[in-house]
Amino acid sequence: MAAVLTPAPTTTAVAARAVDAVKVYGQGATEVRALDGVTIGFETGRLTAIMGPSGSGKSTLLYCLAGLDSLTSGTAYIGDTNLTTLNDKSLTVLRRDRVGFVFQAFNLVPTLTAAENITLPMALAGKRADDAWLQTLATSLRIQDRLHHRPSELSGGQQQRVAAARAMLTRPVLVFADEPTGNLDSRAATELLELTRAAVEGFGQTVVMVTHDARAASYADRVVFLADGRIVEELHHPKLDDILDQLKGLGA
Amino acid sequence: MWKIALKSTLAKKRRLFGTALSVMIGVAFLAGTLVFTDTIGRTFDDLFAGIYDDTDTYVRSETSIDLGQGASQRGRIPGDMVATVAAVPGVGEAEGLVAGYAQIVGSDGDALGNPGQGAPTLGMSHISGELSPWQLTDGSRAPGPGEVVIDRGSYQKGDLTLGDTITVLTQTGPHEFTLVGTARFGSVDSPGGASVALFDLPTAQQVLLGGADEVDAVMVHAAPGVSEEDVTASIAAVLPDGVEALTGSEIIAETQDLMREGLSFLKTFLLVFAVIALVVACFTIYNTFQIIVTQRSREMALLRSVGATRRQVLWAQLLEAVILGVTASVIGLFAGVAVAGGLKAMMAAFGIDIPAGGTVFGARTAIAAMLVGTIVTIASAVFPSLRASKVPPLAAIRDIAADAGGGRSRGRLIQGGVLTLGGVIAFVAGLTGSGLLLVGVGALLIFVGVFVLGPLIARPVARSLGAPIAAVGGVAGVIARENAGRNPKRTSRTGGALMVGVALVVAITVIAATARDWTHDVFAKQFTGDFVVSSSALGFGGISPELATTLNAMPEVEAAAGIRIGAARDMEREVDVQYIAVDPATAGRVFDIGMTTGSLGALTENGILVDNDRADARGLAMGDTIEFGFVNGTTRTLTVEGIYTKDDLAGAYVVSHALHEQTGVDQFDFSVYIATTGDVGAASAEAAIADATAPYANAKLQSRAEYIDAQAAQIDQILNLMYGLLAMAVIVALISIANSISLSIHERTRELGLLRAVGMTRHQIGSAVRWEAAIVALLGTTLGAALGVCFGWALSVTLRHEGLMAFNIPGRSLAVIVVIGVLGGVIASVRPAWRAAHLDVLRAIATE
Repeated sequence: MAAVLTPAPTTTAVAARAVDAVKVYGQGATEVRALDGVTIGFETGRLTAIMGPSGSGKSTLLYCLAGLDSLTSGTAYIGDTNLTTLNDKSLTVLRRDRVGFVFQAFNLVPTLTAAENITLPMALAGKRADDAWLQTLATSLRIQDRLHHRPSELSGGQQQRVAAARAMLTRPVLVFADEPTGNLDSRAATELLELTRAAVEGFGQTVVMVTHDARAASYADRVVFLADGRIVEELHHPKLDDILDQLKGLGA
Repeated sequence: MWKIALKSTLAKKRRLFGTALSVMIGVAFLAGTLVFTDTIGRTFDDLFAGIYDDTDTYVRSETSIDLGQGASQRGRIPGDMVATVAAVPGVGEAEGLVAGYAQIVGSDGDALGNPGQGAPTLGMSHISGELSPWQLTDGSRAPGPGEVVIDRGSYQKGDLTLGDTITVLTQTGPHEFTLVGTARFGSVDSPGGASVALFDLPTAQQVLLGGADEVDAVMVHAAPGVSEEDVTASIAAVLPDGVEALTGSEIIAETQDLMREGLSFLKTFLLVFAVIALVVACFTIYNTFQIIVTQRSREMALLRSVGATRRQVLWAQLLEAVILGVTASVIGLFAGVAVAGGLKAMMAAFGIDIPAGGTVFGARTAIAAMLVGTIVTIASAVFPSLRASKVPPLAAIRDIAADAGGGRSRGRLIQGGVLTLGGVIAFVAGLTGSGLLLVGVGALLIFVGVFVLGPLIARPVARSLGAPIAAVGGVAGVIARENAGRNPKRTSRTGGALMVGVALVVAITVIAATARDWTHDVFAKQFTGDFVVSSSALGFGGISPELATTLNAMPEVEAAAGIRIGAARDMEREVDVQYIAVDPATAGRVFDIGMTTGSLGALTENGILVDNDRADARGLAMGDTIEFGFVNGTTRTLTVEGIYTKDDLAGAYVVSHALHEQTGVDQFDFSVYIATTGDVGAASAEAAIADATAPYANAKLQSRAEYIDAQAAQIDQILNLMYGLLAMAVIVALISIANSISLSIHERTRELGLLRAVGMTRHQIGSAVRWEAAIVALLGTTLGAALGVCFGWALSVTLRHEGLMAFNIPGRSLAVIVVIGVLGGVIASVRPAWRAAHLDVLRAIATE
């Protein structure tokens, strides 16, 4: 009886996953298999880093999981939602309500203030932002006094933190970050990574980050290595040196 | 989302300014035309309401013949009708009205006014009492025999003094009168710019009608307490056949309607040019939005990736178009008032003096301008906005090329080809009879088709047109050529607006040149005389027949042929036709109209000469008869006494003066064509003719060559007017170039910074930008000139059956147009070039 009362293990422990994901660009001689049968899940409440040399398929994996790009075959899920069955409109709504993004560059709409940029997904959905949550996020990301400035009046680090706040405002299932520190100096990068780490621990935010930077990856709970469209290795709670060794092995 | 769209629109104020300006100009032109024509309409409405405000009944002839172009001619009624009407019970006051042509001669000997093009120059019988719309000014008295009262406007313009003896030209020649007063029309000195000479009724009948005891109308003021309907009904009961009675309200409404009809022609003419400017504005808006959408694709992709739906992006773009359209339309609407003033000044400069009172700014004008401006903007922005909504979210992350694609595609070729072909079919169908609107639609389709095809040829054409520029311009020239060729879609879109403007300018230039040649040709072959005395009047007034009589009596003159224009009702077909009336004794010695049977000299009072085309169409041969009805109610059966082939000057029908004089209309020669005997030298013959002509202040003596040149020059006058009206469209097209270049520079900020960093001077950058503009403008003008020549050719072929045989491509004019177009493009690029040259190098390179 007891076994009957025990809830069945739910899939909520995995925020997003890909099953046999294949992505092919081009045809014939110019065919490139950017993803070649990737199966992976991302656990809730953890910071996962995806690493690999240029052309290994790490960005493609991110875009396909985020619904920005479509798979050639295989399936991708956000929570329990199978992305491959959704049309453009449903994908858009999914991105808006359940996923957050931080890109390497051009993260903010130049004509809107920081606060307006942060609440943009809510505005697009025609909803009101949760002011208290906005203040909490702004404070924890240390941009509370920059909210009424335009992007051009913010430093690069501040811009990325505004983007991070925007990504988390809708309390998304997970946040995708594509080389978030790529354009930042090391001080700003460190600050962003520390604050991201704090968000993961403090708010239980799930984050998936693609990066080239071993130091950035060292903030992750788990580092997944890709090469030629396949997963070749993964490390848990790695030290910086472990990551660097692994990268050397991949020839990156 | 609205807020985002609003903010992004405001952030691009400068980028959108050029676009707004082009909409504004189009709307201002449209609003200006409406304000202008409404103002004229109101002026005339008030004028007619003023003339007849105390008239309860208006008695006149029932017979009226259409003269074409909205004018008509009405018969007169016997003078004893005044007494008949006055005797009707209920009539308070009845006055006979006589009106005809009379031109007052100023103190310097020149006739005042220009009845051929401007307001009429009238002679009228003076009406006393309440019926008179005229109020005598202080020191004036009503005219008696040998006396005249003139309007205050002419009194001032002619620099005349009360008590002077002044000359007034009428049907019966120049007459001298003592000026005993001036009159004002309500509160104005000269109603609608018309000049008026007032005589007592017998004098008016004598000098204006040549002595006939007739009146044009009887104006009636009812006795107290009698309504206009009642008095009109009583009068109608006693009137003989052929005479009718209208109430005051009816005559006001009728004259106002007639005026509006005439005005609607002017309105349509001006609106065509407003529409052209708006069409060019469409091309400009379309191009600007395409560029802006391209430049904002990353921003839109970012919005898409954080959750904006396609529809939201589409609406945001369209909202921008709405804001732009509404703002530009509002400004354009008010600028329209200024344009209305400009149009009036422009028409006046071309000799068409249209009176206008207080500006009329109707609700209809506001609604039309706002709707058209906004809809045109939104419609032009629809395609670019749809494209914006299709930007994939990934474009935010990856660098997706700006619309630099070569635009080479089968789809484009097919679309463009189909549009152009459809346009050609519509154009040709329109020309061959289905109407001008179809011609316009066809031309528009051709423009759009070529616009679509443009990118296919833009690169090679820009390269080859740019080759000489690259050769002379050094590195700046090479860069300019490459920039013009690297984005063929944009280059051809930018040049497209100019293409439309130039094509129209070239088309009318070609037609005008052809028409000029035709004029020279026709007169050279069909007019065999030596001198011409002409008046500016055509259809109203002219030269008294006395002059031709005087000239024919002179030993120096072999023949002086006075030519009159008349109209009759073709009784068989029940249409009104125009004819030329000649003196058989003289006409044949001055004109060669290609008689195949019969002769001009043998034309009798009961005969008619018919053009061979008309004769064929109606199956008429020598000896057949035609029945013509005239305004005085008579009907004549005319025998065909000759057939001629050259109808360019003679028209379809020619009758004799003797017949024309019996039709009850005033007799005027619009021109007198003279052959000299050759017994004396040309100089002394001219001097003698000039002496005889001198008293006729409205007549102008010219030699054969001068006259022919003057006729051809009239075409230039119309051409210049149309150039002036097309200028608006060309300005809009040049704005398109300025706008596009400016946006391209914005886009190439980094590249320009790099060029500066590696050592390109400011001067070189500036000249590269200017050269690029020159290439784009050259592309537009060349395409436009080619299209324009085709249009002109098609039109001249269509006019061939109207006798326009020549086809002339005026090479020099075309060259001038192309040079002006290119210079315009370069001038338009001056500001963007300056901005490009003065970019801060470091900041330019750091630009994302």
